[in-house]
Amino acid sequence: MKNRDVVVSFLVQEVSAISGVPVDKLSESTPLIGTGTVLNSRGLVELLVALEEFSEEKLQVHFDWTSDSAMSTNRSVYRNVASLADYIASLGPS
Amino acid sequence: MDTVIVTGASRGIGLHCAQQLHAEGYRVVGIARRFDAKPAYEVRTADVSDHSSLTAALRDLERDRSVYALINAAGIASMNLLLTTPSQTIKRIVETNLLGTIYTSQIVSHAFVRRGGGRIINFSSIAVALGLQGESVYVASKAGVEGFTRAFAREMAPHGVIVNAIAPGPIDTNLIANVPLEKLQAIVDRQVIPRKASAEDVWQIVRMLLSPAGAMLSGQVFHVGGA
Repeated sequence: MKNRDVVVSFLVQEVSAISGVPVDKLSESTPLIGTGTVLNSRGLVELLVALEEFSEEKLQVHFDWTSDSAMSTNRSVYRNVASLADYIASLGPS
Repeated sequence: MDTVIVTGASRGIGLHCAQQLHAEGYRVVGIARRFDAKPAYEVRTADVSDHSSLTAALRDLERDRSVYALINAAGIASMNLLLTTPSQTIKRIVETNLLGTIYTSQIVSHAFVRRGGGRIINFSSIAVALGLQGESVYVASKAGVEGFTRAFAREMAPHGVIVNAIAPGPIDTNLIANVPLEKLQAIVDRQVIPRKASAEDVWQIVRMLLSPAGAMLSGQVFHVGGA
């Protein structure tokens, strides 16, 4: 399985665990911030903590939540599951 | 054993708090640009105004669930009229006092989120409440700290993190070493309790805020001596 697919799977599972929304109701287009998100601010931070550890332990990449590269795109990488998975998959080895 | 991170731990209020915390049995990690003497607790050198330096110094603590509290005591001052203050001095004061507090809080809060709670104590000054002449840049930086404290307390409340600020009046530290005595006395006279506070007075408030007694206090600014 490619890194991106692994990350998508992880994110869907984590969002489900944090929000209580069943996995089959979540997808790559599930918003993580803004209108339609199933996460509150606490849930988003919990997701990012889990993703940081997952990225380093399973993918050997360092995910810096506050890096300029994460925030430099015109639309935040946190906007949905797909955009965040794309970003993690684009990171080089730490 | 709970860990407390103290910035500005090489002198003044930061040093006193670090010593007292160590004596009370906490694991203390002191942060400063340099330490003239090796204290009994762990120290790391970093400039709080330099995010990269700070991140490197604290990296291993971001995932350390023993981290219980952060004391943001690092601070500098330059008592001058704004019209005679060099731009580099202005920049340095704001970077150390305001950005240093924000940077350290951001980095250490990763540990608090993992732990499910924590305490942050920032430092403002009586100069904010009194709007002291000759301290406009210092006041601006510390007013920023107060605003940051109130807003960050709300941001972190869902994670069980309590954020407060202490605003002392004049205390005998290097920070005010060059301020004339009569000017210091004039400030003390404007306090509700017209007595110059000590580092020990401040420590007692820190101690209370770290204790169970501080569990329902967040987003507050505590004026030592009253203002």
